[in-house]
Amino acid sequence: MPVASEALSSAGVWVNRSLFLLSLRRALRGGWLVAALALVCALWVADSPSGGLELGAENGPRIERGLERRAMWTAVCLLVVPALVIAAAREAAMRREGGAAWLTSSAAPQRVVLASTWSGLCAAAGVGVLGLSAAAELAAGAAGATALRSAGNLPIEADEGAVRADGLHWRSPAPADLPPRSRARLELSTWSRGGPATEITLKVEREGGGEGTILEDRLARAAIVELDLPPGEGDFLFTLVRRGGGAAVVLEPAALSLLVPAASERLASVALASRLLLALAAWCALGLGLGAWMSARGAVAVLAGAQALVWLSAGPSGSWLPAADWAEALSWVGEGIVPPPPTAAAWLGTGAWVLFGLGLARLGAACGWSRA
Amino acid sequence: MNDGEREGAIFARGLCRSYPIKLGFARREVLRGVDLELPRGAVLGLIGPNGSGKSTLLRLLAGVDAPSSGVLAVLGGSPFDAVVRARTGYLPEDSPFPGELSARAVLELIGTLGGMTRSAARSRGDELLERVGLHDHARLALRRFSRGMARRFGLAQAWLQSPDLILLDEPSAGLDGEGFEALDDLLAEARGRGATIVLASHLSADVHERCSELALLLGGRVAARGTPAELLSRPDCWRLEIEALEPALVEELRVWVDDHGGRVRSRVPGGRTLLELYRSASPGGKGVTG
Repeated sequence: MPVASEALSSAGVWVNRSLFLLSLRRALRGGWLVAALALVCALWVADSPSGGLELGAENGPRIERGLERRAMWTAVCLLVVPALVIAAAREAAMRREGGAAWLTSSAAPQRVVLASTWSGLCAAAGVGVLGLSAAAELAAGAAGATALRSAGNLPIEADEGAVRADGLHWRSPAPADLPPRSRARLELSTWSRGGPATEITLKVEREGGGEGTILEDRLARAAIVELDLPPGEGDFLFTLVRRGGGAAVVLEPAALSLLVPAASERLASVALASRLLLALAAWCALGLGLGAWMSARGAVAVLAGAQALVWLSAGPSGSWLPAADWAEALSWVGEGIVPPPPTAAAWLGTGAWVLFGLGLARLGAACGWSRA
Repeated sequence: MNDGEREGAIFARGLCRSYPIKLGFARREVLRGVDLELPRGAVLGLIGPNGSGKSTLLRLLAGVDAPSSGVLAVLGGSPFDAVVRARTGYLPEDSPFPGELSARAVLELIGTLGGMTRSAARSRGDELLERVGLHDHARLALRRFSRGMARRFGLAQAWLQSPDLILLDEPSAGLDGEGFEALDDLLAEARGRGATIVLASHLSADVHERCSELALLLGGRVAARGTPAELLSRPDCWRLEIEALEPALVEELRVWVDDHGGRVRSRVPGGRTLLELYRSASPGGKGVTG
């Protein structure tokens, strides 16, 4: 029989297959999968989330599919995420409280025990997110012919953001390698001192000449308008004109986004799934880490509080925090637009949180205080 | 700690263990300075009333819990050392094994965590399940096991890696006749290869028949130490088991004892053991499990 010291000292053994499968199995139990399935079915048969909204002929179907997707992701996430985080915290707390003497007295190094448990939880997260993505796409129905992806903001180079009588002119540098059929998306709001609504004309041309693109629309309160960006050379020259009287129009800061063609609308679910998987990897590791020091309830409460703080306070610089841009990504999806993929900072941040969480769990297991 | 002390199976000096109570504002002391040395190959019985610290001491020896203070060496090293743990088998008081897995899968899991290959863990696990009479239930989820079956499974997992130190917490609790036989068989095998055994029990039969030494724990300390004969025997009290004698002669024997100043305190007819009864009643004559 091979002795433990030989097998345990072999380099590269980080995951015990049997413990990984046990962790996966435990994370998937508890009926949350059944509850998630029931919720998916309920959402499926419910009315379209667009309700009575008037969605315009051009972008309406795309936005309607986006709203279906967003509703499914929002509702089912509320079930899947807590279930997995609770499973992680409960597993660690159970070990801390002596409920797994067979494991805590085993010869396996803590790194193997923790890595196996965490990877099992992540695999369960993968199963849940895969099912959620499939449900969201089934709910959204057939994808449209043209899909758009958010490619960041276009800078607005102008002195003021309010439309005067002669209109507002501004310049936006064109990104290199701009794909054809790209669009600009503007967030506008009205200021109703002069009336409840107003009509606008938005025009964009290239500095190097050529035919521009014109959009005419009627705005009431906040509105999002999209127009095609013309091909050509040089910067984009925008002109926003208010026709007639009515409300003043305000161009919000950082309100000009670039939308580029995407391979498929379904990439929206891929972008959300990758964000959620990254966040769940971090949350499960933190759940294991906190559960090694406190009760499962306490660990979940601390994590929920910290995440609420992240969502309330994290700005653009907080993208290394778990799911910091989740609300923004959901908002894109609701407009039928594919959110940008997670940033490098999100990947690096997740890695750091995972290491921190597992380190905390290892310290808790090694420290006599936690077992007292 | 000198080399001589390291040579022994267990060396404990001033071992203390306390738990936080009242939201951490107070601590309950369970072990209050246990001194214990045990040579390799010994079979030690831990006895003592409930709450005396037997299970806590076993958990410290198994490396499940850390001592609050004191010195502890097991098989010449720390109980948290992977090599020491791989040479230690532990049967906890309760059965906190993964109930959702089959007996075979749990043995494979425990074996591979201990450094065995999957195939080695599986074949050794099958062999041990056979020895404890659970071979027919190898694919049954542990949560479906009765208490006695779970206890027998616990014995199998404690012997999985042929350990040099075996720690058994109430090993005979819930065992039926066949389970007792399996326990004795496993203990004999372990003694034969020179393994050290520490066994905590409330049953005098457990410690009398199976242990070479006893340690009495009282109030978290070792209050007395000696052989079962030294601690549990009374020089003026004998228990005889008489076979092949007519009842009338047994009565004559009782009278003779009375005449010589003795007193027969119990006189019950002998009979078959429960295991013999089970075996005679089962169709194959091999006994029943569960």
